[in-house]
Amino acid sequence: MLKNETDFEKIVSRLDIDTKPNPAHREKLRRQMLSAFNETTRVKNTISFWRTIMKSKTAKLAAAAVIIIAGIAGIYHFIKPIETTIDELRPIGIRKIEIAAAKVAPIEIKLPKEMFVGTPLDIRVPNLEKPLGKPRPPFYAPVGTKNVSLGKPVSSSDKEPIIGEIEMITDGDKEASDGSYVELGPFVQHVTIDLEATYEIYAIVVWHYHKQPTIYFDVVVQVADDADFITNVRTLFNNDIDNSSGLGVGKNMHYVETYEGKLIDAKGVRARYIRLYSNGNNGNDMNHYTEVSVYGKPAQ
Amino acid sequence: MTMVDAMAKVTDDTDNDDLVQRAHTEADALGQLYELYYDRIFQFCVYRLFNREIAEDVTSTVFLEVARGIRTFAGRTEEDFRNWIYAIAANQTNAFIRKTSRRQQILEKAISSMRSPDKADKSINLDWPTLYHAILKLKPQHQTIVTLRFFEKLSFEQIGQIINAREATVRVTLHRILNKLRSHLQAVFDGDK
Repeated sequence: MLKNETDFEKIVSRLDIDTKPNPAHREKLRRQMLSAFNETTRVKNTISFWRTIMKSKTAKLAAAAVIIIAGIAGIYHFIKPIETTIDELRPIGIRKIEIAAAKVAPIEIKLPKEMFVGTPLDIRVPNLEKPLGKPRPPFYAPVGTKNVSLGKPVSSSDKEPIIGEIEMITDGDKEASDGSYVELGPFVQHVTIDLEATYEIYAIVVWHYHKQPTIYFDVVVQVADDADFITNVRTLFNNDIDNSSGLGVGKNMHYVETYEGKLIDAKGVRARYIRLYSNGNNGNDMNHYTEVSVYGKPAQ
Repeated sequence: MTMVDAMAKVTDDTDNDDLVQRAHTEADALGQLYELYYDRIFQFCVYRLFNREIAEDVTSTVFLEVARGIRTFAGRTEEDFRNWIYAIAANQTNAFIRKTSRRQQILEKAISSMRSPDKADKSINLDWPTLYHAILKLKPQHQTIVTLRFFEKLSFEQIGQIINAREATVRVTLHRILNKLRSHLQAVFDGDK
């Protein structure tokens, strides 16, 4: 049978696969490709024109002033009636107007022990968000919102974790110590939490590994109505800026793992399944999860 | 390799590096790069998808992405370009396999279009369709590694550069892939008994 690489090479060497290209396709694609290239030239030239105009300091200041004035006028116009109510709150989970009307409270997130302070200066990762420099402000959600993922079943793309067990992801243990996290293999891996019922989800807090200041790549968080993520899939967070995971280009930023975990605003989305992807980190190619907490209320 | 051959290779490499740098802004240079890489990328897609029509579609997507992204591509050498275009091809083929519901059809077509290997070598009691069935059970990224290693015959270092992983990681992963293939195949053989 297949004993080693040599056996594999022998089988491959005896295959007869036709890889001769079709000249018509080659020629057609060449034209299409050069046409696409020339199209980008035209777009670039248009951008260059605007850049030339905006080279002037006066033009830049004038444009900035117009934008600021328009912004202030717009805010004043739309939120004046409730400004005193919402200024005291930091609404994240739900819309500002809903906060003024509904009964909301900060969700209770029990944090683990802090393992390091600040962000080391030598982390060079593109699209990295700046650390807040202070504790995360309270996150407001409707009264009654709680951790609904505690002890719920979890599955993983890596059936044989290198360290730990998949169940650790929802066991409530967020500490950074050994024995509290699960290590999955390299490349894109995902874990899926089944909440066992549909919930209104307001926040998802993720702790990958926070013993050291680590940055995980291609972090994508999705919710869906089915375990296979075919029906009603919605993406709540995506920092895969080059679409290397094939789930689409994300606009969120890379972030440094801390004891506070990464809080993702789910805006009350209704779903039963939560899936989290990652694709290695800045230290090695492995994927880790210490805990994932999903805060929500049963869907009405 | 003689000294003359070695010097000729260095000159070719330098010329191609120059081509990559000019391709950022010149259509002619991009066209020359296209001629250099079309066959290789098409071949890679055929190996990954085993269907010529689909491979042509995916090859088109790869080169159109190159055309749209070459201006902002930061690479300066042919090696950078090769890693980039293979990474695009790997992503596109993986995306195709992941998204399409016709995966089973591809498999059936591939197997029916393939000749079984010569059975004269009795030391390997395994035919290609059985092995291909097992390969398709791997994750797309792992399938990419198998193609790059055994069909494109790239080194672990080159594969690592393409899939953005360390050389040691590729080695370990390939070891795990072969173990998985072995266990998939064992299950098939046990089922036959």
